[in-house]
Amino acid sequence: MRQFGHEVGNGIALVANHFIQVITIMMLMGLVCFSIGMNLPIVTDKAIALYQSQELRAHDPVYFTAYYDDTREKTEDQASVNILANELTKGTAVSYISNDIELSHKDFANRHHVFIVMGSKANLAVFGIPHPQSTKPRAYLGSALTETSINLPIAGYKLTAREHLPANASFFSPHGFGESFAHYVVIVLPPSALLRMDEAEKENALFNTVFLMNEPSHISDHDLSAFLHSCHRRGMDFIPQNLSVDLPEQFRKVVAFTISYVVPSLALLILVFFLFYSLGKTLVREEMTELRIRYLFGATLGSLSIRVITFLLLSLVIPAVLPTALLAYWAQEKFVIPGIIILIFTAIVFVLCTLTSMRTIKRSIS
Amino acid sequence: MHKKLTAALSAFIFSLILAFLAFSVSEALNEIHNQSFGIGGEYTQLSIPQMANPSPDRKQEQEKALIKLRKYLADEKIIFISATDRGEGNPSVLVYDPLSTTWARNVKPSQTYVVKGSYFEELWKKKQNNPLLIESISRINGVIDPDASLQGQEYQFVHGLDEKISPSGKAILSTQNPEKVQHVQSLLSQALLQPQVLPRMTWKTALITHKEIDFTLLVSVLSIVACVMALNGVLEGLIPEFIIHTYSGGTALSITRKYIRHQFPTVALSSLAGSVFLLILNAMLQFARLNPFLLSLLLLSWLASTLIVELMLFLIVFSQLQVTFATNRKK
Repeated sequence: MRQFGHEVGNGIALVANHFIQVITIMMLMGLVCFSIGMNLPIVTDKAIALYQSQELRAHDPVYFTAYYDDTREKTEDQASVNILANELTKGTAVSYISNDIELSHKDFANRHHVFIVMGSKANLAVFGIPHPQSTKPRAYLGSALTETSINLPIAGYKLTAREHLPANASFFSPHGFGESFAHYVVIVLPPSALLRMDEAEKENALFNTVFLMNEPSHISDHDLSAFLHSCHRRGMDFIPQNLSVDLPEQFRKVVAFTISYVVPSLALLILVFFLFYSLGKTLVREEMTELRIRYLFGATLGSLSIRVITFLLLSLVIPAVLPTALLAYWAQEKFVIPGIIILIFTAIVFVLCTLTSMRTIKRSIS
Repeated sequence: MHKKLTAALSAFIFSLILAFLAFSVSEALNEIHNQSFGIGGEYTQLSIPQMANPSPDRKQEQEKALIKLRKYLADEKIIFISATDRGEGNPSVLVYDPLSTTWARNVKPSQTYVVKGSYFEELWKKKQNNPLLIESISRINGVIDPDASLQGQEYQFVHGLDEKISPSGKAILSTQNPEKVQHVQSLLSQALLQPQVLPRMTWKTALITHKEIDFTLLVSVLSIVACVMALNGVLEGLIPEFIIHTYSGGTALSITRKYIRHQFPTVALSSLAGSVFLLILNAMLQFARLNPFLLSLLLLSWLASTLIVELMLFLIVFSQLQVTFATNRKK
């Protein structure tokens, strides 16, 4: 045991001797972790959205981007709401409300995020909810919520959310705000409930509308034009966008924006491992004489390698784990994928380096 | 493995990083070019926040000022293009081109066109009435094909400069003369707007707004540091082999020169692989539009990385040999 402590102490002394290299490894690791952690989630989010919307995109969907003109008079024109409710009933539209819910009722749903989904085609935009095709009014709790039940009086219904959703439940948003349902309260309502909602909720539903154009009974040109006219009178200029064309283009833009961070960071990570490998080689070369003498005096190969392994642990694994852990603590779920990538790489390089150094030691001693 | 692989690996990684530096530079230049909405040459950017509609009597005042503005622009031969900000106002572009040199030459004042390829072009062709058109405009006069920087966005209409439509969003003037810009600004202020001149694009502001250039530059510098440290450790193991050459009369300089000449094909090929890797990635993800400018920058980055890695190898081996010879001589 005493000898073990001695060997570990020597390993730490070696780190002090190669201080500059170890500090460089640590700093580069920190930079790599930071830049990958900040940028990779943007791409993975879009890639997940692209994957999630596969089924929706097969329906030739049209969504809307909005221009808000504050200079005009606004009305509470109901034609667009009626058209939307009608299309939702027919199953040729998907819509949801994710903002501005029950603004007059401050403690609604214990101040959690609320998400209202309507229509029989909800399964195209909402994932992980039991019986997504059914429009029976009901409510669910997100997997991270601690409450056992929440009362939700909305649009004339008195709903109570008791069931928790699975952890992978999430929704897709054509506007790029799709999210996991972990911290949400999710309400399913029949399309007719839309007519009984507040104006703010209706506006959010209009904004989040996706019309499915490949259904045989899809929205007519006349209705679409009336829908746009009515939204215009409400103060929102809607511009129809084809999601199947638009989303891959959005993905391309996001990749173009983040790839000059992600790929150079990964390249730098490889260089850091290269630096580490060369550090291991230098170390074995420098220590070889001493190791050989101690071997002649009866030290086993195992006890000799403790020193080298301590050094390698301190100079690679700690500099890699420290920033990863810090960022994982700070950025939470977003850092899971980059963190796992970095740690797996580090583990592989560590094992490879240890094995090669051990082999070199073994060969040159015997 | 070390002898060839060390140099090859550093060259590959380094040229990959330089290739991404080249890519981010070309992206930034492309974006800066797009900011001018297709006006070649010098230009000034103005930001015009959206204002509430004026009362009827002030509306007349605004119209008068906008007529004066058009007259001034015509006299001074200044091109004026303004486009609304994303999500604000009406998705339209306001254009006046007295020089008839840009894409906007076909736009006549006080006329309205739909943007080619937009949803409202389809509506117009089907002769349906248009939901988003401003009330004061009764008819659409045709289709226009605007500059690439205005396409693919949400703009639906192109208006010729008209006293009924007040500009908002971002405006471009085809002049940098401070007096003329000042005059246009004062005319816009008379039209009850609050224009502000945006700072001119210099290399400093370009670096501030395009962080990816800063980042790739930083990473390339850091990768030189990491490469030097790593190569220093690995190449030390080759010293005994180099020493042999001294018996046949080799000096530090001649041995090093021979070494890097020997390494040159490896380094050049691996650097090329780094640049090609970007192209392969692009073929998979389609993130960049290949153009001659980007390709020439990639070629440049290939040459630069080959040279820099060769220089690194030279300096490291040379200094190590010098040190070894000095210690040997002491013995």
